[in-house]
Amino acid sequence: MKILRAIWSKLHVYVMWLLASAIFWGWIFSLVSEVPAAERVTLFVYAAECRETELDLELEKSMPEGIRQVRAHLFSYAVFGEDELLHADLYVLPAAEAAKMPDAFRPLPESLAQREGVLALGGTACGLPVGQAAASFVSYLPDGDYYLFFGAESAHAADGKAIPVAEAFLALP
Amino acid sequence: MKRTELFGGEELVRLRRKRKSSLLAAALIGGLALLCCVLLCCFVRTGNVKQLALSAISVSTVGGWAALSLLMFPAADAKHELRHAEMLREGPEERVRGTIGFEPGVLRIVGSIRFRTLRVRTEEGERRVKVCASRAAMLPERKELTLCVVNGYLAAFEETEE
Repeated sequence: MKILRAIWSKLHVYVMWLLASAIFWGWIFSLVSEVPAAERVTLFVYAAECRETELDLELEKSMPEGIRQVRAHLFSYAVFGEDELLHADLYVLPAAEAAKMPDAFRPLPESLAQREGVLALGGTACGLPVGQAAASFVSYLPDGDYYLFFGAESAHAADGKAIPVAEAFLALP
Repeated sequence: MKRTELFGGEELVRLRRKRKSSLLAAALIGGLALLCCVLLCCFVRTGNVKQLALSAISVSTVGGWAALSLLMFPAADAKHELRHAEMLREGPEERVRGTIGFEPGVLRIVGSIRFRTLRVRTEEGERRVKVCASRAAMLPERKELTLCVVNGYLAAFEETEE
């Protein structure tokens, strides 16, 4: 009882420590897990749901040399205008959404442009048909005709390092 | 007359040892918790960031609570009692003879010791003397004693040997 009373009298110190600990280690782990953009391939998915961490782990199995992390994000309007979205390497979008912003994507690399069913925007082949690829990780919207695009601002679409990740995504069950 | 010091040499040694061991234990627990968290940082992979961050937060919180408890209670109490003992040793001593009886309750001075109040019935009347709560049990209840008082606090007492 005496001990409990003593602890109760210092409760504010214990609560402050808990908060400080959560903020400090949360920040440290975000720093430790952060990989520079040059060594990361970023993918945005416009869907109802996405099991991001599991998708990251699957795609990381196909990382090319020089890439240390693949980070998949579910698109939300909260990230609209953020650098990570604007400079993302890959986008998985329904054709109708992609048609609203044709300048956001770069033409498909030659090795992929010859595939069947590619989507052309403004006369340029930009989107690879997704079909039901990665459906075990992504819950696609029912009325969406999904395509995979390379970002116009992407550094890894230009150097080709996003291509193996895109191919791995399309090959996922 | 048998004189009993409330903070004799042995007691001071015990308090110093208690303070040192509490500080050491707090540092050890804090250090171990920190080491665990640093080790957890080394095992960060894409799939386990959240789990490891949660583990680190739990370890640092529980370890920190344990270290803080040691610092706030045993270490701080020993520090306050040592300071109090120093004050008793250095202050001018006054002698009061009378029959003693404790008032109920323990009070704490913020940043200092917990104390009990002793009511002393002397030939001149009644007066109150404060006694460090951890030492209060040393005094016999309702007995005539000669009290050695420093700045209103009991430093020692003398009783007739039977």
